[in-house]
Amino acid sequence: MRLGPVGGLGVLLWGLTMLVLRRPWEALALLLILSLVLGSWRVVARLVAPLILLTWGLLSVIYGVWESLETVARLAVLALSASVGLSRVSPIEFSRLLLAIGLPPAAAASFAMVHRFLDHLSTLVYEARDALAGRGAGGRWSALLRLPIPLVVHSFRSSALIAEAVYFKPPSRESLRRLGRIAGPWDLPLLAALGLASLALVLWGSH
Amino acid sequence: MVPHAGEPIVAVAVLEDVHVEGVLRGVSLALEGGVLGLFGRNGSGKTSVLRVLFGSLKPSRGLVRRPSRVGASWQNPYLSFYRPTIMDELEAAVGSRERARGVLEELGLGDRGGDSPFKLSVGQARLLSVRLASLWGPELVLVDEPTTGLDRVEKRRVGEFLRGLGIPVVMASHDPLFVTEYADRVAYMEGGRVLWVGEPRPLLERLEGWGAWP
Repeated sequence: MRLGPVGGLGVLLWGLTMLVLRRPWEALALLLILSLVLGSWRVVARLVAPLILLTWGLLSVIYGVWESLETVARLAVLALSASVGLSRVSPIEFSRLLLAIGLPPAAAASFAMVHRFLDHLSTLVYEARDALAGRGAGGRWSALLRLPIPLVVHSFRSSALIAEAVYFKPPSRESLRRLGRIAGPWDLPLLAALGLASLALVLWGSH
Repeated sequence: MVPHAGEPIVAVAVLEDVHVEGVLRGVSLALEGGVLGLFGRNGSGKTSVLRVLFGSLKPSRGLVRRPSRVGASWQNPYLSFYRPTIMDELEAAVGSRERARGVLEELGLGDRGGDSPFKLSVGQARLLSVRLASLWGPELVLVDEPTTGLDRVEKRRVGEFLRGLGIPVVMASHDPLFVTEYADRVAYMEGGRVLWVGEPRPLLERLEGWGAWP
């Protein structure tokens, strides 16, 4: 199932609201179910879970295993609501939502550009790894230390060029408006279900 | 490189019926030394052949025999630099400042040793990247699109440089004039297949006959 921009932003805001209400465990449970429903569990398993476990490991050393659990749960809610909410949303459609909220076209389009650039960066990592290996500098650990240098230089060069292009020819309001819909067919039913499930869990927990 | 009479031809690398899903459809090539040009339009599979030879792309079917040490300079030459100055890059590669200075002169960068390699022009960066790829003792050097962004004079420098390396080279290019000028043999690729392998000159006539002149 694919979410529209309203659904993605809704999931993100819902996650933040649950944190403000001090309900991280309920939010975490619902987010895990949601990741299965939306098909974004791969992102959760491969990207978010290892980072959360790593953070938990570090915090455990400083504060203890159980003492750090609540903090880790809060971080997990933040990371999951962002990844579950936004990983299935088309970035260019999300830009259109930002435009509808009132952001200027160049700022609204920047979300899609950053998203696209991150995608490009993952390709670039493999290219830089092969480039270093091609000159005999690609040992497993030494390459890890060397990789950031060409990557950072390339990123700065590219971002300067893109910023220049956007400055001289910013995307027009009309061109962004033509790109897809703001809300997908499942956005509102899913947000309503999420709200009801949270309410049920909160009421059940208070008894 | 033509072997003497009676001397067996030893292939540097061999590809036999190599398939990569959606990219290569049964590529067979034997590299015997000198400069082999892989020529074809964008998307014909040239870079994929280089990546198979390099070892970063695993074929789904077929046989690959390649040397253990393969040097490579890819499309973006700047990605192979990581030291503050050009001199540092060369010194790390050759082991002494004296020898590094010699390579610097050979590249025509005698007065640029203290500059960052990221400040070089595309042509100069390409030369440095190819030289670095050849300095660590590889038995084969791969070069992907060596002429991108170069003018005629720079193309000539890169072409002559590749011919003078003294190591077997495979270069992928979509520039027919460059390939026929500087390669000893040319493999023409289309749709993930090698359609023709041979001396460079006859290729130009064949391309016109096939209507494939880019």
